[in-house]
Amino acid sequence: LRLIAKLDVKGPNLVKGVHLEGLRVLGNPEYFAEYYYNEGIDELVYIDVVASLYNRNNLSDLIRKTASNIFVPLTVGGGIRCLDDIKKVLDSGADKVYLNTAAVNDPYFITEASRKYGSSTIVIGLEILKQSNDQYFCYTNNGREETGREAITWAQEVQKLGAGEIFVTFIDTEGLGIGLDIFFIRKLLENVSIPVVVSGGIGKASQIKELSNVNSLSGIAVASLLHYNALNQFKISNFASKEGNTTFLASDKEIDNYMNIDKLSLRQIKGLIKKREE
Amino acid sequence: VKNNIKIVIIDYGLGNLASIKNVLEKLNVNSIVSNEKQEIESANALILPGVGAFGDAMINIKSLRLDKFIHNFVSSGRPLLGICLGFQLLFEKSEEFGEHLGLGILPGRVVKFPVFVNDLKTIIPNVGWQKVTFLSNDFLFNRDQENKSRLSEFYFVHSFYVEYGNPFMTSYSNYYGVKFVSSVQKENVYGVQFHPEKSGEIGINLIKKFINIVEAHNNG
Repeated sequence: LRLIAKLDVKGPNLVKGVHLEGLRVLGNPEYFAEYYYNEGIDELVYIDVVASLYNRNNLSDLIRKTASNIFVPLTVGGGIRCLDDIKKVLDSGADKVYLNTAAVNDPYFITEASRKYGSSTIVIGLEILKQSNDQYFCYTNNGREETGREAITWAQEVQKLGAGEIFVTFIDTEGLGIGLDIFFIRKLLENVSIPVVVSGGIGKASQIKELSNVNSLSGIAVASLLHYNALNQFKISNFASKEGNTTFLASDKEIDNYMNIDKLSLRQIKGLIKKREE
Repeated sequence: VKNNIKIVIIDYGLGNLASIKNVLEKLNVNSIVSNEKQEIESANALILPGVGAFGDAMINIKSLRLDKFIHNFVSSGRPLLGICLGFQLLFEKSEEFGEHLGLGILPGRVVKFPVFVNDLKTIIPNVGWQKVTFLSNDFLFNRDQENKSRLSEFYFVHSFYVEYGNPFMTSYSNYYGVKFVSSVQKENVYGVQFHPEKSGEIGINLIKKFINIVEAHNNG
């Protein structure tokens, strides 16, 4: 089971929200990425959270700097719309691309992209919300737009189209640390045979133990759990820029009391996963 | 920069070449990404990388006449390291979407992971960190640095594999109970199924070992 650090990026900053909204500036993403690498993270994901909204992708510099210092796989997403965008991101040093909006708008793009760059390079993001009938549906633009696609059906379709991996984000629980819908995860895993990574609300040791027990699950991605712990370690406000909502960092509040998440270091999280696997 | 050696990372239009170059830069090794005959001929070592389809890779390699340049280079006795798809291309043939001939530097076939093992559905591709068991004939894994262990974890991304028991096998791994070759060596030709350039410090140590081999060869 891979432990993946998910870093949401807005402009020059690492940000974190709740339900993919209310983004709070946490600092320089490079600084966090390097810290996670040194602590033994398995993989990193950068998502430009506003790219597809503004039709831009500006992560090239960040990717280049990260890839020259960090030697674990790096996935990049947000605002990637065509084969040229993929090439640009891969040439900057990313190993995989994360697609959501572009794949939903034109499913054949998945096939084209996986033929050209290898299916293992193409990660399809499923940002999902639970509906009143207990089914999950997929959203784009960080949970802003409904796609009308039921999650498991879409997952099977993207597998057929050539996707190499599925990256699920539960919008309902995202940023809350209250745990994921394990029942749904098991159901999804029964229906696909490509690697599945889950994220969106992992905040407790008990949840990590539970996820480590799920057969066939390929990875768990965490954000808040790592970021707030890292901030406590840094003990400094390492702003990349004053752009965005920096009141949280400036407020000098005890981060420990701010979030409903366990105090776990990256090494402790890896320890929990290892214990289950052995 | 260690100016006395030059490593050519072979560019045949597939895969992330930046990450291998980044590791070599970190290690102060002079390297270039190229598919030019002259560059290859003057290199002290080659790295054959790659991500993507075996068939497409061989088409590109042949159209650039790289197969000839690589064979000539190998005959000269200088070291070559194949990584992931670049490792698979060293073998005779692959079953990937039909049958394709490889470079044939090493005997053996590249085959697909089974969809089921003992009625259990497998997940393909194999993406993630896997234990690698190194055999006594291996010279790439740095046992001293990794506390004398024969075992370590490296990062893999692949749907196809080389069957366990290949005569040039130097390490192996296991996925859903299917044993497969993780690395090979035949004289000056080295290959690894995993991505050392994406396996953190352990991977960098392995690349360092390869550089040591290149330097030793260069110094006669």
